[in-house]
Amino acid sequence: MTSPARQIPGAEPAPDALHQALRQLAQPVQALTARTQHAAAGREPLLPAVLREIGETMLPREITLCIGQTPAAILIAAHRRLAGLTLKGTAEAGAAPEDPAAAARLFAARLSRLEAEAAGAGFSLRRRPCKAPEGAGSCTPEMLKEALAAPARNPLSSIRAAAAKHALAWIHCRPSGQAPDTGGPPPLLNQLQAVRSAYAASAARPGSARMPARKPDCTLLPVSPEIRILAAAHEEELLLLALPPEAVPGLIETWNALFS
Amino acid sequence: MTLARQLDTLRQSAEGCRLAAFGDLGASIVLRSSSAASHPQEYLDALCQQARRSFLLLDAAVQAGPEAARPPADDILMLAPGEARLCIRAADGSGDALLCVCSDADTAARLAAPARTLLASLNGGPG
Repeated sequence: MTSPARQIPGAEPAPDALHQALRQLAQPVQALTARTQHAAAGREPLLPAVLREIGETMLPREITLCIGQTPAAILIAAHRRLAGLTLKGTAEAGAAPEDPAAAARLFAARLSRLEAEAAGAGFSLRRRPCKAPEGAGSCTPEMLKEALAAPARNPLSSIRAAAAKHALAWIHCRPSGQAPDTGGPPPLLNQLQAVRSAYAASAARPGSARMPARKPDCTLLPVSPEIRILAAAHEEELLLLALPPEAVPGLIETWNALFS
Repeated sequence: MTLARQLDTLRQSAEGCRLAAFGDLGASIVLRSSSAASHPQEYLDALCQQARRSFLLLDAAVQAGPEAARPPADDILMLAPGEARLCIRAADGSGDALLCVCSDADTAARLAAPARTLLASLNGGPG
């Protein structure tokens, strides 16, 4: 007869990750299926579940994330790292820069859009074996978590992520001389470019500083019955979005949550 | 009824409206205002200046778009931390404008119609 397990006096406590893995292995199957059911019912937050999934993936896996029944993204994970993330319905490829921090920022932006798209709806994760990613930039869940928290320091990126589903065109001018990030059909981009030029001209005019200077502001321009332009400024950044009118109330709410 | 009284009435018609003002966008000055708290003239003029600049952005966007021949909209919503600012400009291009500073965007949106009516009446239109 074996004696019950006991801690050896003086032994170090198990590290957190090992502890969690042992606890999970000891859980009855029902507890694991309950978590899946909670996720499918929209009672589980998406981002922590995705980060946990990456952290638990050692062998290369292609993970399909479905919102409701619809596939919304494909993730490639291996060795507890995320090596690819492609959003369905976008032209963005899954490959990321080699620099892990840059890869984390790219994946975090896509995950934020995914979370905005899910908007609290149920989701599920389907896994299948795949080839080991070769030469792809990758990052750990911890780096992703940090990159996901960055929008609190960069609120216009949060607004852009919240608008990703609705934005018809955009120009995002970041500070320190980085090239603006633009997208959308040329006619709408022309209009946004015109707003950008007028903005720069008026800001350069003496006595036309924002009120008060350098405080964040957001202006909604009804350019036509079908199109609104949102012009948001924060510190040295300017974000211009062309949107359908029905997208505006949600973005006002987002802006207020960030700045009020 | 005097302009000051009309601005009082407009402001008091919506809970959450802190300030109603009549100004000249061309000169960027507020000519008359109504508010529960007092505001320095610099604040009022800067408000007018922000509205002027926002209409410049709107006009630039409309001119660059496919519907440049249509008259541009007469209203702008500007958000600042803790407040929403609505500006309606006169349709005759005179530069006259009504500005409302509200606690939130919904209140500002509710004031758009009465502000437009008041501005039209000040400009000799049906009001």
